[in-house]
Parts: sequence; structure tokens; C-alpha cells
Amino acid sequence: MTKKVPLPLPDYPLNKHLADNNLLENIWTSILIIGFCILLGWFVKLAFEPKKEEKRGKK
Amino acid sequence: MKKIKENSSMLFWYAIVFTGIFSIWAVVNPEGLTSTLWGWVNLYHANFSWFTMMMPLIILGICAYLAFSKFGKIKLGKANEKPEFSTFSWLGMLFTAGIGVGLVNFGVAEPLVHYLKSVEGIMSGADAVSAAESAMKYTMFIWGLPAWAIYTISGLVIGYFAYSKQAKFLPGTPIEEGFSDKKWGKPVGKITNVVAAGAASLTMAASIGLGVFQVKNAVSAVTGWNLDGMRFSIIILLVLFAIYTTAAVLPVGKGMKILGDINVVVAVSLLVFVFVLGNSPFLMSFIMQTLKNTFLGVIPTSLESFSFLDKQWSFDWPNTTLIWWISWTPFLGIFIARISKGRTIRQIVLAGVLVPTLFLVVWFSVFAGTGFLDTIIGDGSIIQYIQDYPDDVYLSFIMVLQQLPLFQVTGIIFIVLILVFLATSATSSMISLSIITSNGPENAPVGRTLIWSIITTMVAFANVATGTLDGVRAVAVIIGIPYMFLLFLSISGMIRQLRHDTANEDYLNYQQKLGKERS
Repeated sequence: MTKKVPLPLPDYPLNKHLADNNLLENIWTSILIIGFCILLGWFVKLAFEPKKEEKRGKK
Repeated sequence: MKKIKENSSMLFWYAIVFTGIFSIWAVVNPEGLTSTLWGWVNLYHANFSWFTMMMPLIILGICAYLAFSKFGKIKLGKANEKPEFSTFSWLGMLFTAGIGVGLVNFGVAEPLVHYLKSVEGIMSGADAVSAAESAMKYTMFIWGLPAWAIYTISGLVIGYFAYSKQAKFLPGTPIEEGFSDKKWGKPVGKITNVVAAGAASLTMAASIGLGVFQVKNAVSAVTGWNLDGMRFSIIILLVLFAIYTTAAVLPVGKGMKILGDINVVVAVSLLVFVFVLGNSPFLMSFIMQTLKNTFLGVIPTSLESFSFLDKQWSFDWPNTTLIWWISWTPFLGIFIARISKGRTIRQIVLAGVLVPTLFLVVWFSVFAGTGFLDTIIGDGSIIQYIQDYPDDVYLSFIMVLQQLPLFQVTGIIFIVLILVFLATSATSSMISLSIITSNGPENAPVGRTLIWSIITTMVAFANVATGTLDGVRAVAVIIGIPYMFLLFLSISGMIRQLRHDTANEDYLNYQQKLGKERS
């Protein structure tokens, strides 16, 4: 017979990076996130813009 | 003809070099590679985990748009094309290639890990009942609709161009053809092919290597034999190699179809056995509860970003697994496309997303439900094992079987299931690698299939022998991140092409015309 896992275990810990506040890092990650969103937005634009010509691939 | 051969051998050699560099790096400097790559993966998670969680919702939305718009009626191939495989075999191959051995390894383990460690698990102070319910919600978020939407769309983008536009069976085809009016379309398509081939071989080498350890531990747990040492690992690797190489060099309708059919029959038999001999009334109600959490939980879970909480569990499980599914799409996409000729976009999306998800609702509810009964009202031995042996959690599946009669029989079925599941995924991977590095023919050339089978097995062997599987696994996960962008670009290319085709002419007439041209 094994012992039961203690219930309840300690409360879930908080995100320890919440207190991090490096200005340069914040700016850099914001640029990264904005760039990421722009890239995805561009994919959507490409999907809905008219294609200019038809080109069939051959096997 | 000469140019096709040149392209084909260039892609083949690029893929070999790509695979070789990372494999050698993994063996020579495993710790450096593992810590560097997992560091990058965690950096990505730290900044973009909100997107990884939301990505399945976007892909599910695109799937719904394709299935229920006018595009849903479009058939992959000619208008009068009949499906090459029966629906049973098609779903069997789709399912076993997509989920593979994870179904057995994580059937009990994953929900119990979430029960213990998730943000809504007992670690957060939740009561046992709500922790169990939320564990199933997260399990089905990872394995259910999101996984199958990712797989299905990856097959659809290639299948549409290959069967309806007579293009090549290559992962880069949707980008090359969909953006044929853009200068960057062709080069980006070619880069996609190289990344896809490298991802496919390394992902599969990691899976085979991990599988060798899992089979060894399973045989040891079922029989009680001591299988320590390289000799047994080599024997298991050779048995696997024999099965997947034989199946891969045979035509898909023989080798892969037979493996898929065996898998489905054996898995369903084991499922029925546990359901019948287990606590059926509880399991039935648990299935209903999981069904609710699977379909109603997908949107809120997808938008859950755990802003204030420690994210390590989220990084290790939902985030990494969703990226891991993307790493599988380079070869799964080719394979799903290859078997889906003659089916409409609506059929592929609805059957490809819903049927495997419904089966998994039942599978996880029955096996994990039995595990939860042991945890909540039993002696708690299974959850205790999960807590004590976090690296071997997959053996919890055996513990569920051990609690039921006839373990001598079900234990052996379990080992067969692991072997055949591993072999099935490996087979589809070899077929796809062969197709990708032969410039996209419909049927994989036997010689090249054999070469990839040997190379992938050698990489797996090198990693098993040197104990450096974590490095290759890290490469396979990290490739999923750039490939996610390429997958979205491919989807964009397909929607663009579909809009173009349907705007120019009545598409059903176009398909009929295509059928006449071909015949």
C-alpha cells in the first residue's frame, strides 16, 4: 500500500518574472511582439488579396 | 527531366546535411545543444505562449471556414474521383500516423500529471474532483480538436495543390504555387522543403529513440525481466526497423494500410476490455463530462494565458506539445495529403478533426478515468507513481491494466500496441521523407525510402547508444517554431489559390475539365 499524495499541496506559485522591469528588455520584446503580429496580419492580407496570374506546377 | 533529377538530389543532400549537422551536434555536445535549444524554446514560450495557446483556435476557425464555405464542396482530384481507401482505412491511417504511440504512453499519464501539476490541479489547492475535471479539459485541449485541426490543415494545404492543381507533393508547394506571382514564393517554398525534410527525420529519430526505451521498460514491467544494457535496445531497434522498413517499401495500400488497420482493431479491443471490466457506469458518465470539456472548453482554454501564475507547467505541457504537433506536420501533411485523394475539403475537415477527437474522448476517459478512480477512491498508487517517477509516467498505463483481470494477456497486447504504433508513425514518416526528397512524386521511390529508413534508424541508434535523446528532441521541438510560420503562410497560399480558382470559373466545371485532361 502506497501513501496518498498529500492533498492539497501548497498553492500554485506566482510568475516570478512579474517583478522584472528592465526598460530595454521591455522595448525589445514589445518590438518582437508587434513584429510578430504584423507578420501574421500580412499573411491574412496575402490570403485575401487577388492573385495576379495562374501558374500550374507540373509533376 | 534532368532538372527534376537535379532538384531532387539537391533537396536530398540538403536534407542529409541538415539532419547530419544536428545529429552530430547532439552526439558530440549533447548538454550544450540541449541547454541552448531548450533555452530558445523557453524564450519563445516566455514571449509568445499567449499565441501558442490561441493558435489552435485560429486554425479551427480556418477549418470551419473551409468546410462550411463554398470551398467545402471542392474535391481533391477530379470531380468523379473515388477515394483510394475505404473511410475506415483512411481514418485508421490518419489516426495512427498522427497520434502514434502517444495514445498508449500518455493515455493515463497525461491527465494524471495535469491533475497533479496544472494551474487548476491539486497543487493550486483545488479539490480532487474539480482537479480531475480540469485535467481532462487540458488533456483534450492538447490531444483533441487543436491537434487534429493542425494535422488536417497541414494535409489539406498540400493535398489541394497536389491533386487539384497537379502540383508536387512537397511541403513547400502551397507557398510556391499559392504565391507563384510573388518573387519570394519559390525560394521560400524551397526553404520550407529543406526545413520540412530535416524536421521529419529528426522528429522521427527522436520518436524512435524514445520508443526504444519505452518498449524496453514496458517489456520489463510486463514480464519482470531485467533488460538493462545496450543489447536489448539494439534488438528492439532492429525489430522496429524491420517492421517500418517493410511497411514503408510496400505500396501504401498494403504496408501502411495493414499497420493502420491492426492498430485500430487492437486499440479498440483493449478499450472495450477496460470499459467492460472497469466501472462502466462511472466511465460512461466520465465520457460525457469529457465530451463537454472537449467541445465547450476549447475556446476558453485557448484564450487562457495564466498571466499571474508560474508558467513552467504551461511551457512544459500545452505549449511544448502544441509546438511538437507542428513539428510533426511536415511529414504528416504529406502523408495525409497522399491518402486523401477523392475526398472533398468538407469531408476531410469534418472527419479528420471530429472522428479522431471523439475517439480520443472515449480513450482518455476510459483509461484515465480508471486511473482517477484509483487516485480519488482507491489506494492512490498510480498518482503516487506519477509523482515519484516523473520521467517514466507512461508506465502508469500498465498500472491500470494490472488492476484488471487477465494482465498476462493485456500486458502483451500493450507491448504489441506500442511496437505497432511506433512502426506506423515511422512508416508514414519514411514514405513522406522519400516523397519530399524525390521532388514530390505521388508514390515514394523504394530506394530513397530505404535510404531514409536506414539514416533515421542510425540517428536514433547514435542517440540511444550515447544517451543523448534530449538533444534531438530539442531540435525537433525548436524546428516547430519557424515551421509554424511556414504552415500559416501555406494556409494563406491555399486560401489565396482557392479564392483565385473559384473566382475565375465555376470550380466543379473546372474539376470536370481537369478530369478530362488527365484521362
